[in-house]
Amino acid sequence: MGAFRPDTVVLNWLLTLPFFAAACAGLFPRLSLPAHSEKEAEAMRRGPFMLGALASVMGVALSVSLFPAVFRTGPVTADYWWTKDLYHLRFQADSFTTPLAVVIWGVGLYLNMHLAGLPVLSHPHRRAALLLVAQGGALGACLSADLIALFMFIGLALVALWLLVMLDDARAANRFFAMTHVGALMLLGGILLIWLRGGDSAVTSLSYLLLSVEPNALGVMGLLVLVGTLPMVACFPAYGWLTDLAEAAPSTAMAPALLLPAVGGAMLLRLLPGSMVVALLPALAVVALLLGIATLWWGAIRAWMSPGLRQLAAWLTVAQSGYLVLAIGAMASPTASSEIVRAAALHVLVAPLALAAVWGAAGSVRAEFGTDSIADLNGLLRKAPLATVALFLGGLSLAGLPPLPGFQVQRLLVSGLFHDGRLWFAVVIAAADLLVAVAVLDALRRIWLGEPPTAGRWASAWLSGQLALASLVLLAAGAGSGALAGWTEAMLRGVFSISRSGLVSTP
Amino acid sequence: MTGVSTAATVIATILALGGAAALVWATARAMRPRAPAESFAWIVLAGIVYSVLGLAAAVRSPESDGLRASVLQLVAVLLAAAVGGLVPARRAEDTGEVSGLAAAAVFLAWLSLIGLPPTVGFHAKVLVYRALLAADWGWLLVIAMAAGAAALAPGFLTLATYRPGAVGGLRAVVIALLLLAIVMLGLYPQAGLAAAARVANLASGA
Repeated sequence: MGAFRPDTVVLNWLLTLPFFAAACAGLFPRLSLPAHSEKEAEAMRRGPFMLGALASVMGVALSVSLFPAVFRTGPVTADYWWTKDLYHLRFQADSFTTPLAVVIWGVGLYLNMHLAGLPVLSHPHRRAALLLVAQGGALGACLSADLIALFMFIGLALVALWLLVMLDDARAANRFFAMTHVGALMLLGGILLIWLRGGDSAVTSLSYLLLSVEPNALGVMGLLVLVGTLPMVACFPAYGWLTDLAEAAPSTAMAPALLLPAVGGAMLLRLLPGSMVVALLPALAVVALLLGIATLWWGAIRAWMSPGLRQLAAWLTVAQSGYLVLAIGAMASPTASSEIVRAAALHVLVAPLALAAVWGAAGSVRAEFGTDSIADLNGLLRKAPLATVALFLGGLSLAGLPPLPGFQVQRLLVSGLFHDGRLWFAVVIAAADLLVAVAVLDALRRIWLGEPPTAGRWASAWLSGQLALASLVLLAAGAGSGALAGWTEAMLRGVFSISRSGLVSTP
Repeated sequence: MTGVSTAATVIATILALGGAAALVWATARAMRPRAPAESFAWIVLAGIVYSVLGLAAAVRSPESDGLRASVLQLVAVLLAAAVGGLVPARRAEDTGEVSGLAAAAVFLAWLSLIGLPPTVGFHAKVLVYRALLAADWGWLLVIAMAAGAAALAPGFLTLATYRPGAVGGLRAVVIALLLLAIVMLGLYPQAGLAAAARVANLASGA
C-alpha cells in the first residue's frame, strides 16, 4: 500500500460509499414508521432517493477533495489484497479519472433527484439501492487500474442497471442486458489476451505490450476492446437497447443512458490510444472512423425525425457516441494531433452533463403533462420554462455551440483533424453538428410556440431542481471553457499516466 | 505446452472436443425446456462441462492453470446447484407473496452459473476462459463464451416465469449460508482460489 497518504483514505471512503448507502437504502423501509396520510406516504416514498442523493453529494465532495493531491503530486493509488497471484483490486485516481468520478457522482445525484420527483413509482427502495450499486460499479470501473477488476465492476454496473430497468419493462431490460453482455464478453476476450500477452493484469503494464506483442495479436486485442465497448456507448450498430428503453422504460432509461457511455468512453480512452495505439492498427482505425461517422449521422438524422422528446434524447445519446468513436479512429494517423485525444477525453466528461439536461427535460415534461410527444405539446416556454431552457442548453452543447462546454470538444476535434490535414472529416463533423443543432431547435420551435397547453397534472420541486442544476452546471462549464481547454492538458497526462506509450505527442 | 506427451495431447483433445459438443448440446437443451427447473438443470450440466474444459486445458498445457480453474468452476456449480435444489417450486396451495430469500436464491444461482459478478461463478469463468486461451484454444474459447452468452436466454425465461415456493426453518438457514458463500467467494476470491489450488495440487500429485 506504500506510505500513508490522507488522500488514499479519501479514495477508500469513496469506494465504499455506494455499497454502504445501498445497504442503508435496503434497510430503510424496516426502520420507517407507517404513514398516516397521503402526504406522509409521499414524503416517505422519496426517502430512499434522498438518501441516494445525499450519498452522491458526499461522493462529489470526496472526489473534489482528491483534486489537490492529484494535481499537485500525481496519481493517488490504492492497492488491495484480492487474490494472491492473479489479479488485484487496484485503484488509481488521476487527472482524468478524478473529474470522471465527480461526473459519475453528479449524474447519480441528478438521477436520484429525477426519480424522487416522478409521480408514483413502484419499488422506490429497490430503485435507489440498484442505482447506487450501478453508480458504484461505474465508479469502480473508471478508477480501476486492474483489467479484471475493471471488467468485474462493469459487470456489476450492468447487472444493477438490468435489474433497475426490469422494474419497468422486463423485455427491454433483457434486450439491454443481452446486448451489453455479449459486448462485455468480447471485451473480456480482449482483456484476457492483454493479460496473457502482457504478463500482468495491471493496466500499467499495457505500455509493454507494444514491445512484446506482434501486430496481428495487437490488432485482435484492439478490435475486441473496440467492438466489445460499442454496445455500452450505444454506438452503431449496437444502439438498439437504448432506443428500446426510451420507448418501454422512460423513467429508468436515463440511468444507463448517462452512466454507460461515460464508463465505456473512459475505458476506450484508457485501453486503446495509450497502450495498443491505434496508430499501429490502420484497419482498426478505419473501422472506428466508419462506425463513428455512421453513428454520428444516423443519430443526428433520427434525432431530427423524433416524434417525442425521449426519442430525441435517445438519438442524441447515440449521436454523441459517434464523436467519441470517430475521435478514437482519428488518433490512428501517425501525424495525429494531441488535440484529438484531448477532445475525446473532454467529451467523456462533458457529454453526460449535456445528455443529463436533455433526458431530464424529456422526463420532466412527460411527468408534468402526461406526454412528451412533440405533436401534442406547445407553449412550453411559458408553462415549463426550466425544461425548455435545459433542453436548449443540453441540445446545443451536444451540437458544439458556444458558449457551452460542448463547444470546446468540437473545437479541439475539428481543429485536430484540420491540423492533421483531414479537412473532409472536419467538414463531416461540422455538418453533423449543424444537423444536431437543427434537430434540437426544430423540436424546441414546435413545443415552444403556440398557446400553452392545459395545466400540467404534476409539479415537483425535485424535477425543477434537477433541471435548474443541469442548466447551471452547463452554463458554469461553458463560462469556464478556457480553463476546461487547459485542463485537457492535465487530463492527457492523466490518461497517459495509466498507459504510457508516449506515441501521441503532447504539445 | 512444452514437455507434454502425445498421450496427454490426445486426451486433452478428446476432452476438449467432447466438452465442446456437450456444452453446445446442454445449452441448446436449456433453451427449450419443458419446465423452468429443467433449464436450470441443463445449465448446471453445462457448468460441469466448463470444469471439464478447464481440465482439458490443464492436460494440454500444465502452465495454463486449468486445474485450479476447473476446481473453482466445480465449486461454483455445486454451490449454485445446491441452492437450486433446495428452493422448492411454488405449489397451488402457496397463496402468499414469493419469499424474498427464495427469489434471491434463484437469481444468484443463475448469476453464478452464467458467470456474472458479484458471485464466485464470475471468477471461475474468467479463469476457465484464461486457461483455454493459455492452452492456445482460441476456437474453444469462442464456443465457451458463445455458450455463456446463450445461457442468458434460459436465465431470462426462468427469472420471468419461475415462481419459487416458500422456504423456512433449517432449509432457509442453509440457503442463506450457501448464498453467503456464493457472494463472499465472489467478493473475496482468494479463499476459493487457495482451496482450489490445494485440491489441484493434490490431484496432480504436486
